[in-house]
Amino acid sequence: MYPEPQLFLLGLSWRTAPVDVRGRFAIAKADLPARLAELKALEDVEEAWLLTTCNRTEALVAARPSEALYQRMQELLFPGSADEHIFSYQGVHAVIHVFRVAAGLDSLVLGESEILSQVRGAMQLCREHGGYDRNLDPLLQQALSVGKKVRTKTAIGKGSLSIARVGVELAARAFAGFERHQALILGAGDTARLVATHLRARNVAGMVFANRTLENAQAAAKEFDCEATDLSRLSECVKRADFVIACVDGAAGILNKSTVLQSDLRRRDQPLMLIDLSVPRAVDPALLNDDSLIVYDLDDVQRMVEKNRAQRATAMREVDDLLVGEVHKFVSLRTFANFAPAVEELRERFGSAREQILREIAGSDAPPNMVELSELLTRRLMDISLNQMKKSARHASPEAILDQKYREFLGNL
Amino acid sequence: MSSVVQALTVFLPVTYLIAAGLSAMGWGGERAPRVQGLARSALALVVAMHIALFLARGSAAGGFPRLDLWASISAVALGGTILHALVTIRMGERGTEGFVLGLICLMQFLSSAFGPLELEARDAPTTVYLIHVFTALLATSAVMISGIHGVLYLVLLRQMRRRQFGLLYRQLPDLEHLTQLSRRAALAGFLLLSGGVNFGIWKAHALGIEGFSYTDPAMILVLGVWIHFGAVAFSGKIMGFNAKRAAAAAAAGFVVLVLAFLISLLPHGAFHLSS
Repeated sequence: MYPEPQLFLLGLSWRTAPVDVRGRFAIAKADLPARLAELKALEDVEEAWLLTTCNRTEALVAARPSEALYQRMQELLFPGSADEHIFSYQGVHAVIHVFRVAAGLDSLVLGESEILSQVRGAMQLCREHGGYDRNLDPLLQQALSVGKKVRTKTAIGKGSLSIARVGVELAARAFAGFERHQALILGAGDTARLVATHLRARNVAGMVFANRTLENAQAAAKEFDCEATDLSRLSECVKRADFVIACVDGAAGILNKSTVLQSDLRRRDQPLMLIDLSVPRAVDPALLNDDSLIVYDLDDVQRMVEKNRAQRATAMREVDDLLVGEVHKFVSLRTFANFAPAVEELRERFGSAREQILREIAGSDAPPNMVELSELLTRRLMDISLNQMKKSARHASPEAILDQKYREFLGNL
Repeated sequence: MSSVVQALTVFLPVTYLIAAGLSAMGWGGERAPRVQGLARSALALVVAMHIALFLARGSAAGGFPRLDLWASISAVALGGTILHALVTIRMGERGTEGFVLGLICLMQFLSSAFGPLELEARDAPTTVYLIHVFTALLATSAVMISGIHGVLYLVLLRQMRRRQFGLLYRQLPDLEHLTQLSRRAALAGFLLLSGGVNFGIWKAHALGIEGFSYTDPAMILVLGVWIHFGAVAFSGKIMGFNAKRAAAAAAAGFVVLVLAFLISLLPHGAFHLSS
């Protein structure tokens, strides 16, 4: 066996560190090449990869085993940090962790897909700056493919867990796309802006921010390049809108029979959608029985979010099984790759020893059929033993053992 | 030939059932690309089998067959499958395919179970007669598609108003798509009926069919359906005739048409009193 570098991973994430600690150790994109070079310059480290997002900062290295390695990495990346904020993994557990991160299982919002593009971005950056090569590349490439696979083959990424996004998705059930539809957003706070972001992503035809304080509505409208108004023109805005998303505080019942006029409702082809994300409710209960309206409030949105969360939790079991298979594939290929040169060397040595013995037999008075038989027998024995070694190498870590290691990993989370 | 007819008669409803199941899995809710491929293939297969059944029955009858009630239902089912596929593929929204194929499966099952295997041949039909029959059957298929989408619109609207997030809420396309599908199918039905009625009247006058009358109940019914689905098709332009009312009108119109179809075909075996 050749001495091969092993995998070590050190980091902190939302699981182990509060937001201020995460912020303190986050690495700016511009600083990443320098930090990567420092990491690679550490003793025993051969290759390195750094991932930094708002929820995690972690370093994966291929290095020769060394007791002080983690300490050196911690001093470099997280100087002065408390031990309880840091996690570390080695070998198979590092592989499991990287796959879980790419799959979105280690994300704050379970199954979110943003992490996959962050992993891809970190790979590109680290490779461009000579961070890693043949040791880490197969692992990271497989992590990307695992991330894609879990999202296409399981329901882990299906259904949103964000209130604003679910509100927009509920409105979308009435329309064949927002491209020809006008939205009215009541409020100009964080949720209202988040709603506007999701609507813009879905190419809404137009948006109007309506708010008690006109200046705030104008500030939000400037950000999204749309209209703004105060609440004095609410009735007119409702008339023009195809759907209304209310995210306004302290405006109970602002959408009532005087602002949502019956005469306007009768002119509509589709019912007017009122998505009320406000506390207290912005929609007057007197409107709930109107046939020309579809009203959802925060409870409905929350119910939808919970449903999506449950769907993702169910999908998690499926993802775990898929990940065990992927870890097995990675470990088998890596073990096989490590064994292959040794097996080839053995084959050469066996071959030369065999030829020498055969020459000795041929030089003796042995009959020709005995020489032929000896040739055949030695070749067969050599092939059987070497092939068995290769086979054993390929299945060095049976799936059952890896499954146990995976459970151990989950138990330690 | 009779064994081919027998085999196709038995396997056609089963194939429709499989196609409906695959479409529901492939195009509704969680879309699975692999199942979508199978659903497309199943739809093509079922249309080919259905056309083959009519050709085989015509061949067994030794000429253009006289369409009884059950054969008419089967023809409407085939027309419905083809029209729905054309409209939904063009619109890029196939979320209702499973529901439509489910109903068509039921229609074909009834036709296969209760209809005779062999059909009588009729006198060699004129071109005008063929156009009249084909447009009338296709128009019925179109109003059926319009009616189904009207019902699905009302179901989804009810779920949304009741704030239920059940299976149908997740499976069905949005309200606007359902409205468009219902109106476009109603427009197709309106145009086809326009052709069917005019060719029928022309045929009656040209051949001097005895007993032809504008007061024939079937004639009155067809004209009523023509006006009704014309209104549904253009409901978007009519003040106060909103999507919900159009959906209810499409559903009700289809139910009335089915009842009229059954009432006129069951006792007489023909749609017109003068036939």
